[in-house]
Amino acid sequence: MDFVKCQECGREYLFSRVRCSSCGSMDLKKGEIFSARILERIHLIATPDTFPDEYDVAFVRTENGMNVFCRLENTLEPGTIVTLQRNASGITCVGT
Amino acid sequence: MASVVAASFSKFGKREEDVFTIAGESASPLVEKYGEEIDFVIVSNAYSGEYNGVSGLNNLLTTYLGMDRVPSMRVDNTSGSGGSAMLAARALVESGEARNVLVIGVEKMTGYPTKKSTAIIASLLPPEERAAGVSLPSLAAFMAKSYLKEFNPSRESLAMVAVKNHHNGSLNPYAHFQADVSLEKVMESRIIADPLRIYEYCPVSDGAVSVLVTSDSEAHSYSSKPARITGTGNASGTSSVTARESFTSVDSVKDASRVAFSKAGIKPDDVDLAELHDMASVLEIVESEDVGFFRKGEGWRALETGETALNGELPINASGGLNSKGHPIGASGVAQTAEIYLQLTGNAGRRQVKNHNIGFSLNMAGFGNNSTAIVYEVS
Repeated sequence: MDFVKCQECGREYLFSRVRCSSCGSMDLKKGEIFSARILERIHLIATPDTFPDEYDVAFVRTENGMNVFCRLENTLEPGTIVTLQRNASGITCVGT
Repeated sequence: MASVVAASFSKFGKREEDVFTIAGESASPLVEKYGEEIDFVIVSNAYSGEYNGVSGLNNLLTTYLGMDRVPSMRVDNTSGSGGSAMLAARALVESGEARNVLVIGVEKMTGYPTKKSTAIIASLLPPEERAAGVSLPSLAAFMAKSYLKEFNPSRESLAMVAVKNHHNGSLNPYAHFQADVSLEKVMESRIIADPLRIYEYCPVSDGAVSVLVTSDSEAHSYSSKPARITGTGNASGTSSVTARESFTSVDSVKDASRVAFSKAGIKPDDVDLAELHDMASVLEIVESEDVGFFRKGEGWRALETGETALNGELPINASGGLNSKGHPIGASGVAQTAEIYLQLTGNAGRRQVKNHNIGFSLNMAGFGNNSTAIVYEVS
């Protein structure tokens, strides 16, 4: 899954932006991340329109230290290493 | 300095009427009494386009109220709209741009399927969080899980926010919910976002509230006991919750509160009563710490000791809060101001608190993307 990285301070973002929130640099370049570790997960019933009626949302830390939310396609416990995907159904994580 | 000199509520809850009728229900008594004196109208509203198919609500509403030639504007800062509207009203009065500002907070939200409503509100989240299927209730659930792990409170102490606020709401004739709820009932209710249950979240509500803001020099001609706005603070934090240092603290709440207390020249300990933004039970506790009422990790104890109950040392959400009074989004921040006004002037009826010289409100946009803190005093 792609992300953008500030070339000045190294901060990373999942979605592109004009200026780095941390250092103000406008030098942001694309990179790619693959795996992350689940830090916490919750089961969600109050889901938004266009998403399934219930699912788990995980708070994960990527291999390069960025924190990200992702939707779990099946139940996985904290500590599990997952693969991050961005596709038509949004940002999801699947067990490796 | 600016003062609040009048307040008027509509009933909050599921309403059949349209957004104009609901707004008019709260504004009419003030328009009737002060109509000729009002020289600016601010409408606090976040979602009239999404829920009601209405844009330019401020212009349509001034026409509906028969105030066509009175200048107006709409303030939208999601669930923080009301606090921002109060900042704007204060600035208009203190700069001399206006003498008497009518602030109307209104939202008509019911009548949509819950998932549709959840999606409308989740549209305030940054794209990376929306794409992951995150909703506002899920962010509160992450906050609750983290709070329980970090500070080891009893799980029941979080649920006691709902018990306390439903009790307060049962004494408020304008509140969405008008009945007490037991701790057992809260703890056995349906999980919405694990570990939080349905009674621990605010409902989707319709409602409106209006307040009149005027200058100190004129205030006593409108009210024998005006509530002076002695300090305001507005602060922003990153919209991205994953980029924050912690799930159990909200920077914008801390920053806005610090500025408001500094401007008012008081300390958190000086506050007699507060209205906080309890979209979920855990938020009232976290905010009570970030505002400075309690040390970090100890706000939950106040629920167990009764310190924040109606008859406690520091009543929090005497109105019932968002949790029980309801959360018509654009109205909520203005409703906090109106409640503090009623309390400080001794007009809060069965929910009147005993000490009422200094009040405080904290209105949060999104999940803390922005916050407005206001200190009010009567002499």
